[in-house]
Amino acid sequence: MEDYILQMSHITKEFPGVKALDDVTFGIRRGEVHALVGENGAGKSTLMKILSGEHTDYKGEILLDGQKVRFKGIKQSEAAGIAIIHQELGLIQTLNVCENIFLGDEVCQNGTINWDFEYKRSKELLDNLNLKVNPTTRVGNLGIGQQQQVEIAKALNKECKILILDEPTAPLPEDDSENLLRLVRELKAQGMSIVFISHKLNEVLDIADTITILRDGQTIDSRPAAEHTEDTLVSGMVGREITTRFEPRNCEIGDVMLKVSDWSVYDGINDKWIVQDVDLEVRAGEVVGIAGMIGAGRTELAMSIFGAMEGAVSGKFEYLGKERPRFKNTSEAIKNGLFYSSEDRKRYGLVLTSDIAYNSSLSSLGKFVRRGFFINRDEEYVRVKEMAGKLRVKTPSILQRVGNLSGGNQQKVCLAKALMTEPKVLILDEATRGIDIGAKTEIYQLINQMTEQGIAVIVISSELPEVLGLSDRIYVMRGGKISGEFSNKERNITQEEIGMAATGGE
Amino acid sequence: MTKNKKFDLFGLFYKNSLVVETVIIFVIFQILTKGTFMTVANMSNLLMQGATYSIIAITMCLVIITGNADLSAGRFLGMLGIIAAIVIVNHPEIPSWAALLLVYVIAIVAGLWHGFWVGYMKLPAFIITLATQLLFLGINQMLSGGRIYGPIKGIIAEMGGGYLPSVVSKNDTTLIVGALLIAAYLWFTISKERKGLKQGLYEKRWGKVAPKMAAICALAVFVTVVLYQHRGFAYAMLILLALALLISHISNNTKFGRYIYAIGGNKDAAALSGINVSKELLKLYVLHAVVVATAAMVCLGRLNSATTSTGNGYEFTAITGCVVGGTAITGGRGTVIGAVVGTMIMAALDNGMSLLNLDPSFQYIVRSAVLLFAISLDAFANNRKTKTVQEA
Repeated sequence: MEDYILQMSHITKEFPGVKALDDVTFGIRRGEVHALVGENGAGKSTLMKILSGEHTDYKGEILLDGQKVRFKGIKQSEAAGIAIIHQELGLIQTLNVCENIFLGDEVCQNGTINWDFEYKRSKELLDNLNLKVNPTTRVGNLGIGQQQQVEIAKALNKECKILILDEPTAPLPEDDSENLLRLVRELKAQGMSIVFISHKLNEVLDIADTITILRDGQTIDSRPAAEHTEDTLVSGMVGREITTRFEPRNCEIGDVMLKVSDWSVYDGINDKWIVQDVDLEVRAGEVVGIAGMIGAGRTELAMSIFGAMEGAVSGKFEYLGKERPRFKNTSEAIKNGLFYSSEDRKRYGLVLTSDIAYNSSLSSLGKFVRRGFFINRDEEYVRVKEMAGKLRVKTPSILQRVGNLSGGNQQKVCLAKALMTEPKVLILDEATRGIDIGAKTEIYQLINQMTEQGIAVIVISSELPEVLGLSDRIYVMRGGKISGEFSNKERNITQEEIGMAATGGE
Repeated sequence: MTKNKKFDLFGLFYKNSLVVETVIIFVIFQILTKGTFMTVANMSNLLMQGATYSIIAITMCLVIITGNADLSAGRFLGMLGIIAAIVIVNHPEIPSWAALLLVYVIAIVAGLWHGFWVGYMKLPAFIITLATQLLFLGINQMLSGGRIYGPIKGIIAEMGGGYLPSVVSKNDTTLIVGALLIAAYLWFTISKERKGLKQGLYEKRWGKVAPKMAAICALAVFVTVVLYQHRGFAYAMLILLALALLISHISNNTKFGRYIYAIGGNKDAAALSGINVSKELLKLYVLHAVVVATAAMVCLGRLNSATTSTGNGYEFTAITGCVVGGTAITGGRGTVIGAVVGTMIMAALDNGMSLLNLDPSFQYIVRSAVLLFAISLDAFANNRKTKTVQEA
């Protein structure tokens, strides 16, 4: 008899019209790292939400330490020792580290908060995680990796026995990811059981003891990690073999479409240069990758070119072969055929409460205006349907609310919005973050199709294999400057070379 | 299973809450007033009173949809009324259309003022409009000195108190206009539904659409017949109807309208989609000011005189009406037609309570309960929705 700390058996969960989970069985042994993998919409998050008590309406049973439990809310599951850390961090940016750690279970004495104890305790927790942060620092001032560790500290404070990490490394740059993986190993050594959800298969294979694969709400397979390779995981997840993720491209590379030189962006609030003396160009039919750590200034560079940065921008700007003033705002950029698709699709990309058609056409409404004022909905819908079909957005109707779509489909709607503006230069910022392999491969194919139409594409990504597999040329940024430029026509650049330029290490 | 059934019942109620609320209010008042409430004269009167509030609600709901607010609308309306009345009473040589023009010019300036602070200076609309509310009240008192100005003549009087003229027999135009409106409504809805089916946007759903159409037609017939028996369509009602339809159409079918929902739904995403948020807000505040100015003229024409206190609290009736009509106070969701209907319900409530001669203090308490009910209904439905939404 193996020592399971938690067993979920025959779990079935239905949403109106969809069976999200269908007789799923999932067990965690004491002190193991158990990875849960599957495409978006496979039911990973739903399963974890049942475990954490967010969904109470399900069939099946949960045994925790051999006891039958049924949680009715996060409070109860936390009390039982289960902590979940979501992909979107749940910290309050305006409060400090200590306040966040104790949020919801403040230590009180005679009705007032015992700050001395709280600060001492949070210091201990942070030390335990090797996080050198003052507990009085405002969380908003921390990097995303540090914020995640604060979340873990918060979970540890609740003395949890099972820690669920939902895509913890998705927003992290390589460096921080490694830190996190090290931390996971340490926690495991201390006897914690950990559920690790991730799309990054190399990490999963690296860290997990057991891997469970979910597909379409069903358990496909649950085996020791040693019996898996990346290929077996992928075929388990998608149900078919995916062979080449990056297809070769052999389209003509044309004229320079966009060129910036001595490009600098000044951040007045923090009084520093976030982008400094950058020279960059991209040609028609070319894919240029920008690699670098989070905070290296990649997003700021892209946003400033797109005309979306408030603050002092300086530098020479050449567009479509002519020198011209910088774009003053985003609508000018879009009119001239430049589009930027943001890294944070929920915050900057989509109006989640509106439908697919609405979101897709939002940047290109001018094309559908007739008689000077009113939008021709027929044309709009025809065009959106065509685009949704081309991008293979999985949806019953283009009037579906975007908030109800899976991450991969939301990203495709972002791309549809970008493509409907008929861009000449397209900047994709972390276009594949947090989406599954099937959708990723489709997006790679789309990028290839775009270049064939002569669109110049700039790809910003924290995933090195992606940058290396897609780009004809690669810029690496570090501390707001270009720290390396590589020609990658032959796809012969290695991760080490990029990593070196990105960190400045040897 | 029983649980599911109960939920569906709530869903049905929520989707039709406006209808249900109307029916409840009408039935209750009809009983309590022993039949005075649903008399021809009172219904006509109710529509006239409600017109002012409902016109304000037309664009108030758009302002709320962008996540902003306008607390100055009532005092703004009062100030414009005073200005127009002073011009008409003190300067009979100035034609009334010139007074009207003056009012609209002032409205545009006020709209630009709001739009400048809210849109371009990015200050919270709540505070800016609270400040202008005081400003408008001050100007109002300064100009009027607390006196009452009236009576009103000319086009402004017609806007508020005039009725469609009869051609051959009494109120024949009302019947014709009513019939035309119903026919137009049927034609538009059916062709829209057909087109949607052809484009494959949704499954056949005549079962759902037909009862709604029938209900709306029945209501339209009822209103037309009631008005026909009294004095016919008032210009105020036609102004309300025309503005509501026009602005509803604009909100659904123009870039401007789309952008309003986008700004309310996700301001950051809107800005990155190439929308000039500041400019759109400026445009909206100007439009709103013009619409409120129209409401001011309708109000002035109906009351036939202007006082310092006219307009006090109108914005709250309009905002309450928007919320009752399904506009999300957090922005991003809502419809113009819903807001107009919601405001009419609030007007019906006021009217009914006045007929009953209820103590004003008690009237406030009832209004508070209705507002609270509407907001909690919305919040409850939302929570339910997020719980049942398909998870990724």
